[in-house]
Amino acid sequence: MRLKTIIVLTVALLMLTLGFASCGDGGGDGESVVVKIGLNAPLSGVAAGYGQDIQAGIEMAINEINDDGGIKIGDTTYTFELKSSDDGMVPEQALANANQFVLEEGINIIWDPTANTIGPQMGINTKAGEEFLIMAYTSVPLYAQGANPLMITMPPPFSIYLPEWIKLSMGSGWMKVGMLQTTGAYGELWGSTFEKAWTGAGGEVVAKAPADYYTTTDYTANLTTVLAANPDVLFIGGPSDPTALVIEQARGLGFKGGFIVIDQAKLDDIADITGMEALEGAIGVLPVENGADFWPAMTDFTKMYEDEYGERVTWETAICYTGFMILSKAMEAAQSVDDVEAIRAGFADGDVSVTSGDVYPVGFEGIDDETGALLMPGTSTMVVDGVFVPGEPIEWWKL
Amino acid sequence: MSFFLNQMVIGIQLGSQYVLVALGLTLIFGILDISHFAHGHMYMIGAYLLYIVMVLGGVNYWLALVICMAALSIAGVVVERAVYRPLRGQPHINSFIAAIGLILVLETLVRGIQPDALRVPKPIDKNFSFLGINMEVQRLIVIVGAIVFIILLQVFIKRTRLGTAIEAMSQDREGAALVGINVNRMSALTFAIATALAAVAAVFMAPLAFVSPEMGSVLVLKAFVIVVIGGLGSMKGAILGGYLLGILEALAIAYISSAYKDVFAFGVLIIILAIWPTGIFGGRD
Repeated sequence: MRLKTIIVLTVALLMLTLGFASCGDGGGDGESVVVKIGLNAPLSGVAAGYGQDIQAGIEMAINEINDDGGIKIGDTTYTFELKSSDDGMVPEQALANANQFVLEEGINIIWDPTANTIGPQMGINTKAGEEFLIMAYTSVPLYAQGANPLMITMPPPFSIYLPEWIKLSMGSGWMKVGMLQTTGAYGELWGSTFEKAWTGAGGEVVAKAPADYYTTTDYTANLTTVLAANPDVLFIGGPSDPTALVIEQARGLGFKGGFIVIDQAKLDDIADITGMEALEGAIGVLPVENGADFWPAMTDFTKMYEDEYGERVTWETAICYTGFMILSKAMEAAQSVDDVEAIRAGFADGDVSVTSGDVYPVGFEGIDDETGALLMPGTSTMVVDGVFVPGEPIEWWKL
Repeated sequence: MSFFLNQMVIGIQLGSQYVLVALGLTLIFGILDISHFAHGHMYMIGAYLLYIVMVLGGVNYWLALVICMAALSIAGVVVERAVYRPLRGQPHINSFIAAIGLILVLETLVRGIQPDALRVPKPIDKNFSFLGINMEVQRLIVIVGAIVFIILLQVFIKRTRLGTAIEAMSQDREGAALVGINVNRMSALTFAIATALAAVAAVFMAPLAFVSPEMGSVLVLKAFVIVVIGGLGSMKGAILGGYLLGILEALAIAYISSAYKDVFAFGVLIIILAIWPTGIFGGRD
């Protein structure tokens, strides 16, 4: 008998608390309402660091907006809350997470930073009644060319770097290239795209010996093979650590020329390992801290991030932070936090998608309303006399 | 010609590390019938130990080599005692699963403590040139050092009482026990020697590569193939197979295709196995 009483009491208490909780959620006119944003990203496993960088950028933006009292639409003030789900870069998991977000939690904006999980969500995000806006962090050119009416892409497509890199390289008198990039789908796509552009510009590929950067621990056999053909410059790159080793070993074998480093490898991380001297003549994506050369606010942002997270900021964090700020402005322009079509249209409303480099760490120059691609100039660099010299910003949408 | 010579030398250097790791594997297999798949991870531990002793502790490279060998031989004994000995006499699958477990434990442990890849400086940071070959002195250390340790091992096995006891056990365990050889002590000794050899390989190779938690994973698989090809339990086979694989890889990169070097190198080894099903030197079946 006593047990029964306890159970009844517990259930009653539970219902009471839940009841109150749901009341509190309701909100009302002139009050504050919390808008949930979904993040579908790898938060465990090998790519966890990447997912956490994305998460950090969104969180920093949300905290800043909330601390300033949120955004105001009509009489209602809206603050934001991030809901993160680990998709482990598995498409099926990403779809399940998206359904959970949209159908169970009433979320209608989902952030996603990996190309292979964005694809499947593009198949379900326009379904009537269950629409959601995809905030895509991907540099795969196909996505920036856009085919989805409810998707925004943030970073520039990687293919835009090639002409600039080839120009920098050939401008140094380097016409003969040896290719030693990573194998696998990404490396091969880069390799074939590069080879076509390089020979198209009048250059010559003198040797090819790609290596699997994930399993190879010694690149000497590949390097001696490539260096035997006397290249002026080496086309290399994969994850940063092994790329640093390739550079070090190439210098160890007496190679004096330059390097064209594909975007997966971060030149600042490589410099930490090899030092700047070995990196002389390296061409690649500008290190994020040097983004301050274009956008002065990057300096403060970098400091803020380091204070909070205790490590060096990444482009992922800076771009997602700025992207979220644009999103909040698009909501204000649309006068809605849940009409995704209006929000998508809001991005193209006036100067909503233009961010000044004096205020934000990344200076977006607008949006291509056709494709949903935010217009961030490409930032390339070449190491000259031990410093990262930034190239001209690449305004790829004008090309 | 100098290019070919260059690739040959690199091949021999690649082969040197394979030989050192494969010798340990074949010793353990020959004597204890255990497929010690965690051997590559003991190699990884050796490299981290070198980092601790040499970079953090400031100890001289050659002294660090001795310390790492000593520490890893003790670690080898511990592994034999704690992981494999309790499973003796049970089906092979049990010790195989134990090895996988050991791999997971070691890799997660190291990654938990130090997630970033580390570098170890070269003891002699110079290049040498000879007959058109130009490479780091460290590669010469790997090649010569490996030869020295191979000879030392041969001398130990053939010329000392303990070594002969190990060889007797690998030929016939029951027979060896009957003539009064202490099987437990020999098992521990075998693990100590094999793991010390892994430490040698790690100390030699670490300055040329990155020290990372997964550095031994591919290496141990290659070493295993070498052991199978050379004849399970055969030391001659492990030596010849190791050098052969290294040279085949270097030549494949130079003359065929770097992306298919493993396909080529292992393809040749498979053909050899098809001709001599029990390995080049017969070994144990």
